[in-house]
Amino acid sequence: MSDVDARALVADCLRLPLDCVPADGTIETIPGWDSLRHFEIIARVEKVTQRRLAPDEIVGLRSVRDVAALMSR
Amino acid sequence: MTMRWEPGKPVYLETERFILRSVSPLWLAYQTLPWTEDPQIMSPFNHRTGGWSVWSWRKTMVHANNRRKFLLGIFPKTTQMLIGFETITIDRNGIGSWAVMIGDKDWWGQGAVLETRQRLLQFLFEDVGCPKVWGMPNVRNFPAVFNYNRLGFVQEGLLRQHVRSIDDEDRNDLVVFGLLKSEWQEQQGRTR
Repeated sequence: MSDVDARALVADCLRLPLDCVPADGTIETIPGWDSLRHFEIIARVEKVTQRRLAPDEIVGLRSVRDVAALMSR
Repeated sequence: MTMRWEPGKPVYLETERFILRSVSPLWLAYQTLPWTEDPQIMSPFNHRTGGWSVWSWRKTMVHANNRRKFLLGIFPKTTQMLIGFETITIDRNGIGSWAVMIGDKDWWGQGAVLETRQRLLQFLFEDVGCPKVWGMPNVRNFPAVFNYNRLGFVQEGLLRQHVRSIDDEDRNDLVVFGLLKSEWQEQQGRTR
């Protein structure tokens, strides 16, 4: 999985165009990344990776890069 | 208008969009009883869905004294209708712990918890004098974990398989999040 895949996943969950989701975007910097969309992102990551995320992975997911790292594991 | 709080007196706090004010457990139980029928609202708190009376529901609520125990309703300024509530307890060391329920689902994903808890942190650190605030959500309550992260809380621990799920008898982990007054002050300095 690439950074582009992670950006696309986040953009899709946030209903944003891909160019509104930079690779270095975070929960603080991307508009519309709220608690409900965050739920969708984690659920989608678990679906794509076909595994239940560990507690530390859930707590540590704060950015597009974190999504990319989880998808590449 | 935000009135200065005095210990033992009702709390009244304002944010841009909301009013937080002291409410009685019985009034709150009457107002929120319909929420107890909704599994989406109840499950994150590991409460059973349905089968509650006003009295049994009321017993789950903090008996507020507005000194060390607070029960605050959350009201949008636009409608003045209750959308949720926050319970806060201050322990003998002065540490604040809290829990929030937003029962009006139209307000989910609207930043209500973030906005009201930012104001509550100010209240707890500056008015009540807490040196620290902490909370302990279920790790699979993703919206709650998101809100703690956004508020700058630090993960202090993980209580593994600490509670039995009311839904499926599975055992769930709890995350311990804490925020020191000094950390909060540092955040305030950065955002000003």
